[in-house]
Amino acid sequence: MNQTMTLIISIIGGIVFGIGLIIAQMVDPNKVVAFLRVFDRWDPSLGLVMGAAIAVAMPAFFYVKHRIRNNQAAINGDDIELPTASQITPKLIIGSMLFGIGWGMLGFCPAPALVTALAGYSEAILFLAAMLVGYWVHAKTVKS
Amino acid sequence: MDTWIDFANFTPGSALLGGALIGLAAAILIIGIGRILGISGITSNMLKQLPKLSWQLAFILGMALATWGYSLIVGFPEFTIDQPVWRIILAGLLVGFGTRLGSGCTSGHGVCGISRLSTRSMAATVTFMIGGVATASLFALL
Repeated sequence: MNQTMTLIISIIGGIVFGIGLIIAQMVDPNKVVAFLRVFDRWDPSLGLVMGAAIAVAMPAFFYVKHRIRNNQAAINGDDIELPTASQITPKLIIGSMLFGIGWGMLGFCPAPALVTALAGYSEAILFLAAMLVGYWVHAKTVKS
Repeated sequence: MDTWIDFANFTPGSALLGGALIGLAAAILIIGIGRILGISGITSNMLKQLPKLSWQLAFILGMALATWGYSLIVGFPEFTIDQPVWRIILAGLLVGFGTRLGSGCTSGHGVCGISRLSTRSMAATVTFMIGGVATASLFALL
């Protein structure tokens, strides 16, 4: 029962997320680059995407913190897992900088790239394949 | 006329609606199953657990259903990605390696991290925004 509920909630979450990315136009890397290219013909739309996402998600995180304090689980019965790491490490900063550079070069971050690849865009499929190689290189070279 | 802000392509309505749905998806995951919506982590953990039907795989299946359903009913947005192959590959490698080293991407750090007021995620978000803005601006000049 718990397992079925987990899978159903995950699928619903994925559907809502995917539709959100398409409606927000984040799937179009040209739109993302037009947001990041702030000094020239700037399209501020993606700032609103992030703002709206945070405005909706923030009350949810306040609510789950309240649930954790009252020793309540998630709806499926599992413990709510919030990340425990709080240190700002060199790995965090270097990794985020490399990610930002790759993001700014093309306009794809992982989720929109996945959706665009699923829609059949060959450039997004190539990007995704290279991204998986990046995961693999990390797994082979960096100790966690 | 050239203006600093490109109002012709500014789409506040779809940005707010799409963004709200992204936030709603994060809320569904954390309240429903107690997990963070972070796509770089979800994809890499999904791969590690294959062929098991993990929650991560179910989530990605949901994204696929959304993509194919939207394509059938509304039509997937059409655009061209007119970029050289080397740039696509280099960008993918940097995004893949960087998100693993930095433990997150736009969804995990940018949306969920900021929403739960994590200073670590805020530092990551500021860093990848600086990297993204600098690189996109530089390539715009080339």
